[in-house]
Amino acid sequence: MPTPPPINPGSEEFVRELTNHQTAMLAYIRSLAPGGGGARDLLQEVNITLWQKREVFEIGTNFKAWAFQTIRYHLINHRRRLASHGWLVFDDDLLERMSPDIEAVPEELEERHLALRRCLLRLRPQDRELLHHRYATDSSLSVYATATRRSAGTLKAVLFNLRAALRRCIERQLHETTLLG
Amino acid sequence: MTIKNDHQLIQQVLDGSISHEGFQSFQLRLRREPELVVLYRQYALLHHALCEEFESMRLVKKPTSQVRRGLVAVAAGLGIAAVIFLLASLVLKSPTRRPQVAAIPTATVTFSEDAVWGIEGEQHASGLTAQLSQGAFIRLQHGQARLVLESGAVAVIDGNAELEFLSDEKLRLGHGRGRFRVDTPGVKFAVSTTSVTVVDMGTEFGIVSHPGYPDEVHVFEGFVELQVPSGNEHPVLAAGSAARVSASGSIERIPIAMARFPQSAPRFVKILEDRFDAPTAVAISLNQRNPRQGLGTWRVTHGQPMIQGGRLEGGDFQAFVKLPEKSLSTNSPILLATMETIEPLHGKFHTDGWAGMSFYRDGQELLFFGDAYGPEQTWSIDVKQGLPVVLPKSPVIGPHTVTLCYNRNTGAASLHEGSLPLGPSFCVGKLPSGLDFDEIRIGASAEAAIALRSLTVRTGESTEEAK
Repeated sequence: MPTPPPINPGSEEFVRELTNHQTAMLAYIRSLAPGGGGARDLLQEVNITLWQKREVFEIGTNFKAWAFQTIRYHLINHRRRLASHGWLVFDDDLLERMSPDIEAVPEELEERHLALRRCLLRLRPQDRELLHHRYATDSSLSVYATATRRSAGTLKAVLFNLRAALRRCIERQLHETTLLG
Repeated sequence: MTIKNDHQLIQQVLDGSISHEGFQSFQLRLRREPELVVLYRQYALLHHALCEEFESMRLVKKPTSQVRRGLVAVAAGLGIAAVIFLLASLVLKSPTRRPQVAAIPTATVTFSEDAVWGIEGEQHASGLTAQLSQGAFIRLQHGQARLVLESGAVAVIDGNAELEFLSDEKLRLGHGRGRFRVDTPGVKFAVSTTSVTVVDMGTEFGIVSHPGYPDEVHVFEGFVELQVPSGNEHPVLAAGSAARVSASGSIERIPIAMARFPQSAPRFVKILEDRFDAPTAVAISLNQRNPRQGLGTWRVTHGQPMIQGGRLEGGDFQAFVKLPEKSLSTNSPILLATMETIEPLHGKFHTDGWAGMSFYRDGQELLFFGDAYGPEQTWSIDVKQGLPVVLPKSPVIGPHTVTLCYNRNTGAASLHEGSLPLGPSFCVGKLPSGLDFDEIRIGASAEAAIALRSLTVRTGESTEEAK
């Protein structure tokens, strides 16, 4: 059986950077191309592109900037295909313009996720169940409405209010952390 | 200030439940309202966190008490899984597990017969057509190029112009003049210059961009949106209107000028062709021979040029053949004359004498190209009228396929290596404009010789913008 080729130190550093930025890249994709259900698949495509171009990347330079730029190019180049799968991809100029305002570093994403968990604990069980249905299953809201004997319109409104409340809760927590810190 | 509807609007965007028009309107507002971008970011990151929270539950069952360690583990686990997948697929090069790599967009470019061009980037050229990969850059010195993208968008540029193929739905016009059209529904096509991005909204439009001058956008059909780097407003131009956009981003309405953008590729017709490369065992005289295409017959007035062994060869001879009347006009001002020469078996092409092709009107020689009279051993142009022979910067020596290009409207004359496609010009001269020719002559002086495999004369339309 042939032995796999050794990974050179540059590749190890590259893999470390790629691993550290996976969540930030995923958040970036979800922000700039909302509406689609396969952000992880898109991330894989970008990962492959980055890997194929790893020789271009200079260890020690800004990996995040390079990765995010690759994501933007990927969205631009595959706009038509993504649109046909339900993605909403912002216009090229808007992608460029909004990018600095949308980007998030891994630390911020972790803080936000922790804040979300604290906020979720304050919700009623049925509300957490609704969010679970929305984000952890592939079935439609109307199916869930039938199962819970509520109207889809009501659930939609509840979902809207839940997310608005979660946003307020997270922002308040982050604000308090900033003041305390 | 944001209102409740904005929260609903953003959630619809993130859920993908907004209409196309609603999303367009949302984008317009994002360009103008920084506070909406802030709110969008908050919701987008909430959306991401919710996806991570609940999707990870679907993927990994873990105790809720290990919150922080769990978060890191999930993120790292997903990342490492991705990388392991990558390494397994790419480093180990397993053909059965290699993931699908998205196809790189390509485009096809077709050049007009008088086009002189260069392409930077990945390409496969064949004759007047080339297949371009994304990122390719077309430098069109002369003539016309027609680029067809996989999205269905079509771009037609006239030389002198530069066009970069950025993606299936985006082009960059470095400079020059271009006409752009998209008929495919749902395709968001945009063309950018240094000062403006023109976003197609189901339309046909033209752009003129020259260094040091404001860009111009002319809309022939439908609508376009103008996006300037410095402006928050994105005016929409409708069919029949045009605008001038300065480098500072100011936009000024101007009258539309459709005539500046040709509606079709320039047409060329072959008015004379003769080939001598058919193998013949017996020597044949050129005199009284009918060209393969053209008027009348060859008339040898001096010497004895002969066709033999797949060539026409002679020294110290002159042979004439008529051209159609008014073959050049204001609407069809380009003349392309190609000689395919080879090394003479007897005598030399480059001498102190002359050997080549001349253009006549009413018995007067007006233009010559080949090895002109004089000591310089190179291909050159003789514009007659007692003016010096026009020499190339570096001598071009020996048998070649060389094409003369003359523009009756401007008087410009140039020599190019090759026939189709034309190579870059290596010798440029100037004749009076408005010339017309009724006869050509091929020949060589007493001390010189010329051997030809073929000669062709074509005339066609110009793509140059009227000054």
